[in-house]
Amino acid sequence: MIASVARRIAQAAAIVFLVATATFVLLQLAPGDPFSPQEESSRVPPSVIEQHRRNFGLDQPIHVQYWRYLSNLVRGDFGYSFSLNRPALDVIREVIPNTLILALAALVVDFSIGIAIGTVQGARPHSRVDDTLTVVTVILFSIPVFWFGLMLIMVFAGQLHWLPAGGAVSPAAYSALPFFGKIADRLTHLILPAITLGLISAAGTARYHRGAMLDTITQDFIRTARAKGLSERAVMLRHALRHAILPAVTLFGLSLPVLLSGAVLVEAVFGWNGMGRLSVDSIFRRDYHVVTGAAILAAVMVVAGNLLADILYRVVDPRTRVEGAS
Amino acid sequence: MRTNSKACITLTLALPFVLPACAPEQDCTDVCGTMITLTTAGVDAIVPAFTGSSNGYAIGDQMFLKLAEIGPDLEPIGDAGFIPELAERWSFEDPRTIVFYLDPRAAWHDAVPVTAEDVVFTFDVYRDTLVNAVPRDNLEPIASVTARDDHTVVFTFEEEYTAQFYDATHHMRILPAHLLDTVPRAELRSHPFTRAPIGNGPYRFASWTTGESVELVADPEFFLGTPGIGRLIWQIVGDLQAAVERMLAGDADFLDFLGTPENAERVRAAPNLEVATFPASFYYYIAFNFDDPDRPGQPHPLFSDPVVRRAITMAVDREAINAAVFGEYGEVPPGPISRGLWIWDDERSPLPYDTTEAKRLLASRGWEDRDGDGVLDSDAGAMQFELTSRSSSSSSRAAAVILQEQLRRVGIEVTFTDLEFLTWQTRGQAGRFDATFGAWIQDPDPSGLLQTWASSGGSNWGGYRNPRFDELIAQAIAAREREVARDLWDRAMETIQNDAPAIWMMTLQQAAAVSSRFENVAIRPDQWSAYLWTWRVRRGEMIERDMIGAR
Amino acid sequence: MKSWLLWAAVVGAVIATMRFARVVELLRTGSPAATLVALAALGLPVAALACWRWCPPASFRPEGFLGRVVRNRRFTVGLTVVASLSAAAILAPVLTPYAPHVQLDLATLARLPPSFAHPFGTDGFSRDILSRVLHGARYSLSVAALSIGLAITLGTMVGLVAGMSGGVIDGALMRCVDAGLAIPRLFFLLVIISLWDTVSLPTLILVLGLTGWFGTSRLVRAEVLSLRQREYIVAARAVGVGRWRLVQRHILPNIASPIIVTAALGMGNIVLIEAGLSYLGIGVRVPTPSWGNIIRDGHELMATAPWISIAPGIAIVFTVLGFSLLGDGLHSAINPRRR
Repeated sequence: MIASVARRIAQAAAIVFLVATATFVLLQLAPGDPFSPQEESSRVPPSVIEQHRRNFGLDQPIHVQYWRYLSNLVRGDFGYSFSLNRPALDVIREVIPNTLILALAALVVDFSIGIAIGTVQGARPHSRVDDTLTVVTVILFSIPVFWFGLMLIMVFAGQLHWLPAGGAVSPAAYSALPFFGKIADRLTHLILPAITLGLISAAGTARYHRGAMLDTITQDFIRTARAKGLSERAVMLRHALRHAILPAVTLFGLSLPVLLSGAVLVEAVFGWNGMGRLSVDSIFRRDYHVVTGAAILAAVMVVAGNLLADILYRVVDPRTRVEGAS
Repeated sequence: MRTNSKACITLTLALPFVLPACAPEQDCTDVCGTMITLTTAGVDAIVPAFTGSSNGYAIGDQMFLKLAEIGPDLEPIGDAGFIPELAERWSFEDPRTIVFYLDPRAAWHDAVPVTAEDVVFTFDVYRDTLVNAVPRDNLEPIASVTARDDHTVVFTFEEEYTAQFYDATHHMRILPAHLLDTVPRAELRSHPFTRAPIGNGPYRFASWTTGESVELVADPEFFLGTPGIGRLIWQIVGDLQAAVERMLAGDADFLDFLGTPENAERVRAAPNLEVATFPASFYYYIAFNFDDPDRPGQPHPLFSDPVVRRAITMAVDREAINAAVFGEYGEVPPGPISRGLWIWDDERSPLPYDTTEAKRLLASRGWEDRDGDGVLDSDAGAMQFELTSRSSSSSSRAAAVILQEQLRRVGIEVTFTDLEFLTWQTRGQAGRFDATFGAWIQDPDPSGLLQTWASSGGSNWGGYRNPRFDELIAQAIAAREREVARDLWDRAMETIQNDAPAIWMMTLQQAAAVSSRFENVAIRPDQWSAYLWTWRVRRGEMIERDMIGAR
Repeated sequence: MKSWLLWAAVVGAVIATMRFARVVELLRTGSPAATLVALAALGLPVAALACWRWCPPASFRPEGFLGRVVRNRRFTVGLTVVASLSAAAILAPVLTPYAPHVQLDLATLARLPPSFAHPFGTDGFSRDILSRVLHGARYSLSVAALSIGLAITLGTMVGLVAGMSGGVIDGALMRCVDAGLAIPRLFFLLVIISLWDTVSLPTLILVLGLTGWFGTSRLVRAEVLSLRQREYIVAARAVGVGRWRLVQRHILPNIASPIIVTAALGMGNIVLIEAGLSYLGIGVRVPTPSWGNIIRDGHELMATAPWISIAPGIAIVFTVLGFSLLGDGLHSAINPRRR
């Protein structure tokens, strides 16, 4: 068990290393020198640029540059934001919590709705409910996430005025609110973006979970449970769901990249100050160290998420545990 | 009382679906009120010496004072139209020497008094090439700034001219020498001070979240009087339409620019808002690059030819663009001047819109559609160019889309690149564009034209050079009488119009949205926020957010 | 005969993707043939691969497979949607009353709600939205088809190489694929777009294709590995059948169907991604209409003219839905057990 987890960790580290290498290659392929990003640096004193040049060894042969690049990344030097005149990591670090909050909330929506739909479908395969829900999920799956967000804003913020149209907090009131008021304020702002992002991912989760349920209900222990005379509801909830939910743990790892990609668009629609919006803004600023930095960190999140899912799966699933031990 | 209003807020926020519930009790005795200003452009810096954006000035000016502020008449000639700020009085010792006596009550927010040393230091910083402050060139005529004693500071000029006092006071906001004089100049712009400045104005810095908001709080000890509004918040919104929606929803209090006439109508119809109109201090232009952006030192293949520039200008229906973008508020400027500038002349008309003439002019230069693909060709290839524009300006984006189609009809292909404001600016400065869609905000004194369109001008991005034009504006600036100056400015405008270094696109009667609960709303056309600290929330019309932090 | 067909298909796909600049140029001039060419870039290799699998007399069982396919409701619905959208895209210049960029009359015809003359209304620049959406279909579908063509070709090649070589090459390639999949797709695209100054249509297609092959290669490799366990392959290897002959004879025909399914599902995904990028203002550039940038135009006028964004959004939903159903239908027709 420990050995296999260690192997997974080593694999994860290798992936992160490759991602960093890929960005290095892309930076090399791009036109121009990464520390004179055209004239965009004219606001930055030449001494600062020179310092970063030296820091990344741009006067050195390419293998030295590569080594410097990697070791700088490890030390948290992701380059410099020439338009904001600050280290790129500082800029990104400020917005990471916002993205994590959004992704986490979306994950909750995704899993609770996805698993609920999947369970209902899986319990009565090929019934009218199943077919209807299949149609619903296939349609959900086809909706562009940013457009869905726009439509929700139009209805719930524009027409009904129930929820704020964007931002993470009420700008004026927030700082003076008591603790619980702050939480409530953040939650009201989180509802629409989280639903936008979560609901669309829920389609995939539902589909996956329906499959897992179908696999489960044909197994012997379900027949046994039915034979014992348990009610269908009890069989489904207590036995089938509990068993079928295990694969969902892996799904958590798979959903992360999709959620983070979607977050780029959702953040743009809702003016949510996260990594995605920062990256898009940075493109218009031609501030590409921030963009590459955000991409590397997003990849690290995905890899970490997968690793976590993998380890969790090993912990909760007795079969893999035995395999690992053998 | 205070706890009461807080409980009220908690309740409404916990139950978002019953939001318009309780009105707080009116119990504000001292400094209270919150004003939320929305902006679509980013905030580059909030210390005025380091900014180049109107947001930077609007925010920075609340924290940093000038020696004296220009009055509501925007009279740049002489010193009669100026209001004392850090300087309580001044005198001309001789025609080239002005002595300022600092107000002894003036103090930094860390309680250190403002001294003549600060003024000397500030001038030095503004003139330092390592800092490269935007108004550096405007300070050129000032020979020296010296401290006579702690509260007396002496400005001497190279020569005598009409806008001397204006140049001495209008460009510089005084910086704290005691906090910054040990910082190497090259590092000033990135020093932690710029993220959390200590000023001397009516408002103190409270917080700045990049890309989100800036918050200032009133300084109750401000030496010129108590600021009218307790907190000022600038909030950055993705686009103009989102900003208008937030205004309509009552989530914000001020938006300095409404763009379309539809927006102005909707704001006017809203019970909680009012529309304030004033002549804009800016004009939109599309500047042509005279130099080839790809081959330094070479003339631009299209735009170095004045006939081509005139032809392109005449192929653009600027009236239609103004009508589509600003409705009745918009107007075609007859040169690089905004509606609000005193040299505006109703009798001068812009180059006409005449596509037949435009095509004729282009044909005379060898531009004809030879291969029948709808795009004009010459020996050098097809007629196409790139137009860069600021993503933050929805008005210029809209105008650019219309222009693109208008030019397509005469066979000119325009590709269109949206850039974030600061990037657009740096590219412009570096001359890396074919044509660029910008807007210049004009100071009360037209001498800024020296900076933007004269041969030596630091912001003459396209590289327009005509000694005749330079000569005329130099004479106009040096003129001692208004009528003489006016005539010279007029001739300068005629010259630049004929040379067509840019398409003069739009200027307007600007419409701003203001929450109707504010009183004493005085807007100075060139900088709406100039007298902001004297605005107040009407007693009895306070809403929840006004009570936050009330004293 | 069969291998000829296969190589023709692969070469066709490669040429189509390498020569996309010319294809895109054709598109810009607006001839319906151009869209046909672009769609053919995807269609031909897929059709050829399909033929490879099912045309040969030995395995040609129309009543079996075709019957299953035709009886599959998802497939028929999906095919109908996709075919009609493609037809609409190809015939856009004939079907639409106006060119997509024509500003009819800024003063009187801007922001008109849907009416008989303008079924989807007009936008803020008095352009007919129906015309824009239909022309947008040409760009959105062609971009998707060309980049999927590229992605599938690349993915299949890498997957085959990894699966057939095994060992170090396999390990290295698959770790690269893991890394590619670890960067969320949109962040990956943002990095590439940020490094190059402006993104032209051919670059966009190239970028979408080059970042889209990871999943396919993983799938192909898995299929290859499982095939290699089969007895007849083991036997063939034992008697000394060459590696590439093995690929042509036994491997490719058997992985054709999952690849086709991936391509169909991938089309929907690419349409969504392209729309997202164009919505952000970094995909297809104005005035070229794409569904994403029409929605972007409409975003600003959401409060006063919501119809501008609604029509292209629905077009995207239909397209993605069509390709999902097509892919699903094919999938269940190919694997009748898994329903």
